[in-house]
Amino acid sequence: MEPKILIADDEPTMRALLRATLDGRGVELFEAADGATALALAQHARPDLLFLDWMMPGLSGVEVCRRLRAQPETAGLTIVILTARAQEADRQEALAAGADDYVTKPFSPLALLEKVRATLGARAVS
Amino acid sequence: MSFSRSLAARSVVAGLLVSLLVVVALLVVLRALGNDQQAAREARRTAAVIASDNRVEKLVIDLQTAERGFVLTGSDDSLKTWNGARAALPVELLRLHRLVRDPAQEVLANEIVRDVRGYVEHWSKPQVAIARVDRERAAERTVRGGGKLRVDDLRKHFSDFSARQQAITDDATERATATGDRARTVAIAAAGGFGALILLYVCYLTQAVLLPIRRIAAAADRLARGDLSARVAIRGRHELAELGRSFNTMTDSLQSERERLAEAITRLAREHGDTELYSEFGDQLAAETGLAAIAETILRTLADEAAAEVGALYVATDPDETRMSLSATRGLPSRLLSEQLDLGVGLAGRALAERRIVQASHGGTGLPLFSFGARLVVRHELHLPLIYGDRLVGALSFGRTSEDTFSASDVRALERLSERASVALASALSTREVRRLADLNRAVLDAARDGMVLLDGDQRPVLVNATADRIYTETIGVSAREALSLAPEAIGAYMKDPTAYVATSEAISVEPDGETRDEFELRDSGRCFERITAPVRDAAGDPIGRIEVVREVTGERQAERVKNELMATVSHELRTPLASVVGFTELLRERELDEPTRRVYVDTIHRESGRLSALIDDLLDLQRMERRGVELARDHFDMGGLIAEQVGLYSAQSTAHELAVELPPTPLMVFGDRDRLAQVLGNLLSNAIKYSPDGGRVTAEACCESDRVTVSITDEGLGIARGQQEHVFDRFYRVDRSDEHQIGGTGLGLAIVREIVEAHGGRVGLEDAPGRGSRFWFEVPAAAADGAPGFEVRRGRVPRSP
Repeated sequence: MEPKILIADDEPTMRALLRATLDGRGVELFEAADGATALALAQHARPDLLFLDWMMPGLSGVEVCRRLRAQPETAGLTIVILTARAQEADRQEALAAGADDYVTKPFSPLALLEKVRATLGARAVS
Repeated sequence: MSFSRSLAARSVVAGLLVSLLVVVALLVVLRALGNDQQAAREARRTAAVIASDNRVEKLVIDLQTAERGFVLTGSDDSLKTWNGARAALPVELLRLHRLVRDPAQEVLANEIVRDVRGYVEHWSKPQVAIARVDRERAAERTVRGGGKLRVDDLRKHFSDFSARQQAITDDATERATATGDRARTVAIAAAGGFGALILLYVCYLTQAVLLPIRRIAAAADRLARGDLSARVAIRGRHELAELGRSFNTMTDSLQSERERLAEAITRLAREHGDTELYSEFGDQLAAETGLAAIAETILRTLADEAAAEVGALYVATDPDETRMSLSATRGLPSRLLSEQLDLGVGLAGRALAERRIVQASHGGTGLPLFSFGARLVVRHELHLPLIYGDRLVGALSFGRTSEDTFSASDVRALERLSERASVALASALSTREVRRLADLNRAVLDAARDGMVLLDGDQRPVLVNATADRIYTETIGVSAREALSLAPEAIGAYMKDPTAYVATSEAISVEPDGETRDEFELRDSGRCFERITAPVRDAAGDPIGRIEVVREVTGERQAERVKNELMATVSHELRTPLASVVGFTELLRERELDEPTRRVYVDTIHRESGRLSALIDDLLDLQRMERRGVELARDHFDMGGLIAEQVGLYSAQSTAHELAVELPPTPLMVFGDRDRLAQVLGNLLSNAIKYSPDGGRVTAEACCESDRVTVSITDEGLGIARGQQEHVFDRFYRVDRSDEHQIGGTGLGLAIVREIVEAHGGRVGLEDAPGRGSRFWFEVPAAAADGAPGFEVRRGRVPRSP
């Protein structure tokens, strides 16, 4: 069974970039354009990894993170906040909300792919 | 006074003279007494000589008798007697010889001695010797009388000697008696002269000393009884005359002193009257506080004193003292007088400029004035400057209608009262100035944006400005003084962070010297305040207390917050397209991609770069406008034409919305920067399109109201909450909405709109559109409608682009 990755970002271009980076690497991709969708998908699709934008309409990424951590079934989900907010205080806030990693935009797609490989371990991404 | 004229010297000389006379008299008396004694001594010696002579005579007779007896009888008794007489004779003769002084008597005495010796040796001795042998012979011889002759001769000598000696004695006695008489006479004369001299001296003393002293005493007595006219008449240049003169000088000076005293008493009595007036004047002035009342009192009192029917008082109401304002009048309606008095102008002005009293008289005709209907003729004027220290505080002018000029004593009295008046006026002016400054300070303090409270050492408020009161009232509902009496905890309860507030407040209260600064935020309103405290010292450096300045920084904090937030947004907005550019570029570089995919990536990169570029353009544009103002290239053009053009442009870009234009038939001429206003229209249209749902209608309208052209863009979007409407033109402000969907843009468009419109002297605004959506509008001044529109204006609905 392929690892599942959920991409949550309101910017279509960003989702396209992540899809272009990860597509065809032996992962199953899900996409959400806002916080509420991301939350719902995370609970139903049970992804292994979540790339979560912060500033989305409705629920913010950090709020989604907080809620996912609060629920037992998603508490173990690996969450990488992928955001344009670059201040240290933001990073601290995100980590405090339960994020596993914090990546600021712009980022290197190939480095991100490495992160994915490292995270998903045995079910290594090709 | 020379010594010879001195009474003491004269007394001494007279005393010496008297003593000398007395001594001389005494010497004379003593001399007389001495003579008398000598005479007595002489008499005694003479008597002794006579006695000695008698004894010699008796011895000779004894010798002769014994010799004869022996011769006759041969008795041994006679011989014994003879022998005794013979033995005694030499002794007696020697005594006689010694006793004799008188030379003649001495000769006689020598003869007697010689004859006696002769008789003894040459007669008696041989007779006895013969008798022893032959008494007869001896008797014979006796009969022959040899011996008797000799004895008779001797007895004659003795008799002569005695007689002569007696004569000498008598003479001496007589002389002594005469001398004694003379001495008595001299003594009596001396006693008399002595008494007379003493009497004379006493008289002299009486005349020279006693009488003058008595006169002086009598004068002193009169003086003592208060008769200061008592004088002593003593001529001369001696001490008593000197004393008399001194006495006279003393009484003269006493008399003049008494006259002066009497004058002084009279003057004092007069001055007492003045002083009472002066003191009463002072009391009256002290009782008044207002400048006007003090001016009235001064003019009334001094005019009364000057007996002036008309008068005016000008007071230095401006600080530079070159102008005085009319403050009180007497006997004249104030409209007759100039409102201002300038230094050096007119008599009163001259009095001021020269700082002295100026008087003038108007001769026979006088200076006619109309005083409350009555005609007054002023004959004499007096102008008096009121000076306090170096300050000119006012000027008094008086006019008299009587013929009497202002006398020197009038002037003195006025000067005296004017001193008091100057003090009172200066004080009133100072009070007024102090009050004015205090009011000014108070007004400045109250107008300050900062709340200010000065606390004394015991944390009691000494000064509170209106702003402090307003801040405390608005935030915790009580006045500053009440608030400051509360415990920090009570105030802290209103704060977002009570603990921090209390901790800082306590730290401030124990901090004696340092300045402190903290900031707190109200829990409910979110208002932020900065609190700065610092010790306050007076000019001498002694601590007065601590000033607490509370300044509302809500706006600043909010602006900072907004800016920070929007900087984050800008950062986000920049990083998001940048992430696409960087990401896709990396994929293009690192991966083998087919041509269509590469095409898609390159297109994406291009699009996102454009986004970035637009954002950067807007940022720079706005920054430039903020920094240097909007540089406008003004020209006359038709706003209607520009609107139609822009709507046409946006219609072509968006097929999802319906764009409409509604314009009046006449051109809407404005004088402005066409490109900049096109930017305004573009931003507004782009926003309207962005915030309208697909299929929504966007309407652009314009009209000309008097001198302004108003343009509005109405959308059918969600509208903007009232509370946020005022912020939408702020830089980086983003409407917060829960159902926000992807809306591009920089958050700077409306800020740019406002900058440009305001640079044209116009205004921008926003209101709810009727029904649903928002209506953004702006107005700019209209240009004179002389130019025809440069192009055909399309009206009505803009046709959709294909």
